[in-house]
Amino acid sequence: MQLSWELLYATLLFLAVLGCIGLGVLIFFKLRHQRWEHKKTELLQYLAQELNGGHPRRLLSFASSHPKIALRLLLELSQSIVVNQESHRHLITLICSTGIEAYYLRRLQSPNARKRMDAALHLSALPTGNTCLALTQALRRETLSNVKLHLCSALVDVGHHEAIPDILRTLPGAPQWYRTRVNMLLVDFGDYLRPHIPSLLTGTEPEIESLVVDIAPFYPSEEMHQYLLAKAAQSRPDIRYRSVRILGQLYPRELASPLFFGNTNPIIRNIAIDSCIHTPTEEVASSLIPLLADPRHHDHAVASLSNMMQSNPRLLEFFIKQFAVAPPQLRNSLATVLSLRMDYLLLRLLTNQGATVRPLVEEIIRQGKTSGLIGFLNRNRHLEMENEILDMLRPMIGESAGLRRDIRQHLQPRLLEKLGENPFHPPTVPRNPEIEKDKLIRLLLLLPVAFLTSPLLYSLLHWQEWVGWDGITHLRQFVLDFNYFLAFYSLSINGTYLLLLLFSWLCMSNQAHLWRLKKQTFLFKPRSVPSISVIAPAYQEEATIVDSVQSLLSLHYPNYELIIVNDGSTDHTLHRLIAEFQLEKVDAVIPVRLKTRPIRGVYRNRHIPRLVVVDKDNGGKADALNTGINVSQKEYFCGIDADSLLEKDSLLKLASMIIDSPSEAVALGGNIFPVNGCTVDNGYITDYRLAKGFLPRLQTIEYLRAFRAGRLGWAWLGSLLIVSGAFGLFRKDRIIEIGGYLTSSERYKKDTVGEDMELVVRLRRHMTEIRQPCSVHYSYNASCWTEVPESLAVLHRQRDRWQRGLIDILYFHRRMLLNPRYGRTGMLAMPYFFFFEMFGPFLEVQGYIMVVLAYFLDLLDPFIACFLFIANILLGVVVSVFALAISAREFPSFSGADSLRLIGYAILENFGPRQLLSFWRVTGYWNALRQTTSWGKMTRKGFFSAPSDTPIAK
Amino acid sequence: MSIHINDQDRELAPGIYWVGDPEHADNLYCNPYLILDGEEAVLIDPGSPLDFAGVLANVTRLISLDRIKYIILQHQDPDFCASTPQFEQQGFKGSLATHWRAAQLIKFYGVTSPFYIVNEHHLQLSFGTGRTLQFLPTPYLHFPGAITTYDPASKILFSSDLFGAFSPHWTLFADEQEDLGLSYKEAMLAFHEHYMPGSDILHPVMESFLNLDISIIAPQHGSIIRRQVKTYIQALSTLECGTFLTPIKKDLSRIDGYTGLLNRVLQRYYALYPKEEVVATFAETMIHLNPEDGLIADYTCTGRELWQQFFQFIYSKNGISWLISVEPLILHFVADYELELPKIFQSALLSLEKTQQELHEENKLLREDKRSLEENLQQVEDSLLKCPLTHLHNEVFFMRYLNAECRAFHQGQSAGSLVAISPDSMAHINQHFGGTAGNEVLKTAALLLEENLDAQHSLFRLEGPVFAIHLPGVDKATAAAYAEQLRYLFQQSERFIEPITVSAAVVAFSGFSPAAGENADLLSAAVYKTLRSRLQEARLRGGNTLCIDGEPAKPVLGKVLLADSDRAHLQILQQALEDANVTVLTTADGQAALSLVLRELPDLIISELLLPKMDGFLLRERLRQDSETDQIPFFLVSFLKDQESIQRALTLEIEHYLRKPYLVTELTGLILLKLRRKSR
Repeated sequence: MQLSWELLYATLLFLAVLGCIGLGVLIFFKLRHQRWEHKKTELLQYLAQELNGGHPRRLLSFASSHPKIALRLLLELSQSIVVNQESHRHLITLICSTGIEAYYLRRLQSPNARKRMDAALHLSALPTGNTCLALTQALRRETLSNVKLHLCSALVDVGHHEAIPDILRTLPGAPQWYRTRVNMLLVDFGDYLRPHIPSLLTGTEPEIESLVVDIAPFYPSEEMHQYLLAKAAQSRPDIRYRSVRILGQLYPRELASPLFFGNTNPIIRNIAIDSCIHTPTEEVASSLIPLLADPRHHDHAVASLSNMMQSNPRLLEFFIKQFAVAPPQLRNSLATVLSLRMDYLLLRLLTNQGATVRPLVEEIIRQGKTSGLIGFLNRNRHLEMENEILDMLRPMIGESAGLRRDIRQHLQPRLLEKLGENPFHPPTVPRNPEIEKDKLIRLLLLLPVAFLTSPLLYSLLHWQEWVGWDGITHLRQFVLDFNYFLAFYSLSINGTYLLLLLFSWLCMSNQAHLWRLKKQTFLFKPRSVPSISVIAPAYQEEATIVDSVQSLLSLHYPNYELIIVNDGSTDHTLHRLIAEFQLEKVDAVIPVRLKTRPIRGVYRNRHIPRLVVVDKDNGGKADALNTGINVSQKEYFCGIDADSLLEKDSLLKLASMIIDSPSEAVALGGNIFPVNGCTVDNGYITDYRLAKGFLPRLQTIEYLRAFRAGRLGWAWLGSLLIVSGAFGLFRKDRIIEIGGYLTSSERYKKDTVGEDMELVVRLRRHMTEIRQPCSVHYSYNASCWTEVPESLAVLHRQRDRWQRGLIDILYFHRRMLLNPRYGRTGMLAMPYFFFFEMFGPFLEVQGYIMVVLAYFLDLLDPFIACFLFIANILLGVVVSVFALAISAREFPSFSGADSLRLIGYAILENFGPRQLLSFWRVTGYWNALRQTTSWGKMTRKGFFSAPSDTPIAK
Repeated sequence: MSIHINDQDRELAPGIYWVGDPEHADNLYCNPYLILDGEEAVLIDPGSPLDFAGVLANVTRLISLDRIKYIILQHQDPDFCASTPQFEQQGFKGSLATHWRAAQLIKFYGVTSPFYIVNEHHLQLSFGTGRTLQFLPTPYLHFPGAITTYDPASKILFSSDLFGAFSPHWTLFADEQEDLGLSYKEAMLAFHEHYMPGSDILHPVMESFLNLDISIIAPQHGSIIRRQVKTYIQALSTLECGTFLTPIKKDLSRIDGYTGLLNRVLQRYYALYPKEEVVATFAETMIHLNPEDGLIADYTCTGRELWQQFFQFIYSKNGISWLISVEPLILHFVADYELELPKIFQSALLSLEKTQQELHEENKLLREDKRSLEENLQQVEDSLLKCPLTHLHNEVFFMRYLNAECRAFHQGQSAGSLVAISPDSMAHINQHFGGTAGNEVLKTAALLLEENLDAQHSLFRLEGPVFAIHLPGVDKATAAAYAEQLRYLFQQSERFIEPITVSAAVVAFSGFSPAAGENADLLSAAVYKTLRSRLQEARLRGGNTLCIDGEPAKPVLGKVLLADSDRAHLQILQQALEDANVTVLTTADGQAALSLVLRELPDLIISELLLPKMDGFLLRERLRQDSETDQIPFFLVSFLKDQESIQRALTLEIEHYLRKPYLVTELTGLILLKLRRKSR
């Protein structure tokens, strides 16, 4: 052994310094944040007074003494409000006079792209002649598209319309994502863009055509009209389709003309059909009805007719009349359209029109649109109505098994009795995992390797003394050596963490910078960020579901929907939702893009269009997520746990990373924090506090380390493999491509308990195999708060599940391990998980036993003890302190006292808890061998909010 | 059949005699009357040659013919005028008092006496003593020149054809019918259904009779009504008749149809037969009767089958007589509702057994228990107090009910609250979709209200498109909340041909002090008037609103709520508004904004769309559930403003929607403009 006391002392000193630096950083961030808040309040006060003509002098003196802060605040404030323009200009002049403008003008020429973007952002708040000129010149020079975008955005903000030709010049040859955003920015020039339009209309480049079509709705004119007509007749397909769509919006009457309806291109015809909703008249409707027979147009015509009927109720009578005379092939489609007004139709059954309406209602029921009927019957109190409908149903039940099932599931027992049927509740079919013999054998084979590694290593080290020593000596040496093994192992793992922490720091400062560059006004422009479906699977979540949904419904995000998938809960999860959000069962056609367990019903409230609740047979979390993907109508989907709470702009922070991603962002993960100590009011965290209990606090520091030190670092390395199931954003089409989450219903016929990590691994594997560059990101500031186990038993079950999931994935994707074809993922991330996360605990647990053994054998000399202490404990604490320090950068963070407490826990956790976790990982392996695939139960406490025990009934 | 009439019964009032001949009593029995006043006499509707001998004998027993100064002929039908020439031959020397229209026709009987045209004598006829008879024209009931005669001295109304009845078992007095277990009222209604041209003509006359002080009604046909006179008038004032001329019920939906009709048949049965027998008829059939009121509670077939089966059961258990007893009613229904006549009625047996069964039927009827009869009569009466369209109790019933409630309240019992609901756009719907659609809206509205009715609530249909709900023991605030809920329900309902809104009003009894000595009738009138005026007020406020007090809502000048989670934004805007003398409330989340609005009722709300806990749209949606907060102007200010959100904002009637960043002056300008307009 080459180790000496001196080296140990040096290390100790180094670590102490490191620890102090960590603490220093922590304190620095705290102070900086406080100062910023303080200055912000001060300036706001001055600004507000300035409105009243109060004390401009104080405002100006503040601005001249803190130009940077003033500029940043001005930037922030001007995103939402423009105060008195006079004083605004005054302030700008003053800020410029401090020389800050010159500083940013210089920065605009920096070779560092990030600095150029930063300068562009800040200059956008200083609309002076210099700035305008400098920005225009910078745009001419610029080569990077993302910097160009920021320059364009700044030019729009300062309103420098002379730069329009320069901006236009950047379009040809630019990437799609750049052009769509710049096109939208150009519209902000308003009338100043108008003089350029004639020349644009003659442009032939596809980029210019695309621009004209994009801005067409904002600049309607006869020339533009003719242009669109010309493009609609003949151009590249995407331009043609977009032109037709805009024509449909602006000149809906023309689309009914044969030029479009009679077009040979079915897609154009469909767009024309879609546009009919703007002219809900009988003539248009009657010209649409024959198209229902064409399978290519059926869906569009049905949707269009339905919308027309909604906006013009008088069409209802017309459709009823049409139904009576329609040929059979049109009747079912018309019935689908009319099914939207089922209540109204049913009420007419007993009027003079009963004879006309009845076949229509029967046809609707035959179409499987039974929700309206069942809802009506359950609500109805009118006896004759009831009997009339039941009489109509009676013969139909025999004909259709589907109708019978629907009725037996959803109709009130009293009515069922009258129909001679009995209620039916689909039994939850237990999922029997298949025994994977192959996996069992391989895992068993790995087991002796795990236990024999150290003896083997020992025998290699001491092969010379192999025969010379007696048993006791061997044992003593083995124990002693093992203590060193453990120390080295700890050193390497903590060293890895420390390294990752360094990467984290880099990654984080980059992200923080990019986030600061993003203006809210920019993010909320159309098409800036992708549309997202937030999918939350819920199983037995009645305690927290309402709070969670409330929180998820008011996210700060431009375009998203929320899909709650009730995974066959046997408690009141679904009923709570229905009662709280006044949901009604609707007939929805769900495309089967991924195979899942059957859907029982889709519930909506038309006043909360954002919310969709899906009720389905129990099939596990992955299956529920796949169902949600089928229901989803957006570009990306965000899988989150139904018991988790998102901060209101978490989703925006996460999704905004897609804009900066150099390659296709297929998956993005956010932070997870324990919510246990926080005060939650109606699904919204009002007070961020450290959790109370011992276990939650331990987990807090553990999560901090795992996310800050782990994932952020891995993300920087470009080989992040885990995107937490509690909060992850994915590109939907890619996920559908790879067959969604791993379930027994989908193509791999396999369930796993680590579905979130598995998905990312498979996604990466797929993207490598189809040779598409992709990236998986991790956002340091997009936070999600989740309840963590408070009892040891539940924690054990959770960790056991994690370990089994990990093993499952490593086994399932064993081909990637150390396979250079898969790049850093195969060579770095997978081996890390294999050695440190799966294999390591065996070594660690054995090591701990040896330490105890060494103590009893009196082998533990101060040196080895010290070494073990430094490698295992002190280094661990330093890692934790740094993780905490980095976290302090982001607000809201822990108070000073809580930070100290957490450092205390970071020390405490080394004595017992850590060992226990390692031990559980070993037993997890054992359980994986037993092929248990059960989830383990999590007892929910519910958030600490006022009990919302609203009764289910009215 | 011989009926003996006591002499004292013949004298209806001092000097006023019924002079009919019971020997000729048949299904359409005629009643002549004689008024003696001093030396003079007046004979009213002498009759036809058939009963001339009897009538003459009765008259001459009381007075010699030459002393009769007038014969009043209330209209020209032969059953009353035909014997006039015979009276003239026997020595009548007076004049014939009649309407000029009737006189034109009566001369064709060959009368020789001069006419006393009532129209030329201020519709009066005076005796020598100064006693005056008044003639009340009842045009088109059922002759253009029909009149009735009212004697203010005795308060007797000689009602001509009105209040007449078919009388298979004639008795002199209507109440004696009840002793036989019969209902004069039903018989009377049947007669009017056949002979009166229409409800529109009948009802106003009945309204005027209601204001007349009448002690006895002496009709031409049927029996004399001497008790509970008002109830008979009311029964006619709600009768739908004239169906054979214009089948007005043709388009009535059968929403309550078969069940409703059969319930009426059942009620008729309960009036005619012991209740147990009627109930026993349906034991072990698929028709289940409600044990309490004996009406149909449930059945397991379609309405059409029920209509057939019902009478099958009747026939198989009780024989043909039960069918005969309701045959006219059924025929009436068949005609009115365009129904198919139940097959059993078409059977040939019917006519063969008819005469034989009549006696049998009579025997049975006599065994009726009197007490249960009275109770059942009450039910029959109730059924006549229903709106034919919605089958809810109508205004007449409501007024009576209100009276009873007011009396109870007068005696110190808590009487709860009243809610009135009225669709706003009836005129629009009638105009655009036709009157049938209008009726359907009312029916659907009634159904919707019934669905949301608690067991102890009572629902009424008042005159016009107005529904009233009585909530016993409910205070004003709760009633207002309930009314709001209903109002919102209508607003959201998709059952109507097009979305409709309703105006609502709430009146609590507690708002009226039952002052000592104050009449309960006055109280009920006051409550009713208040309810109507508040409903009117709610309509005047633009509809889709609830009025709970008489005064229009007073705007509190200049209170604005700002909701945004961006503190900086709030602070700047608050300062700007406060400088313009506007009170500003601020909040950072949607939930708090909602409770603040409900508590403070600001004049204007400015909200960010993306609010924590509850977004701007949902906040607006919740506010729309209360008519008061619905009317608060709502401005949105947000980073997010796209096609979809603009459309949503428009459907939520959000007035202004600004995209951030915006000019403070623009928003403050809009706010001030709005506030100034509102205070104006």
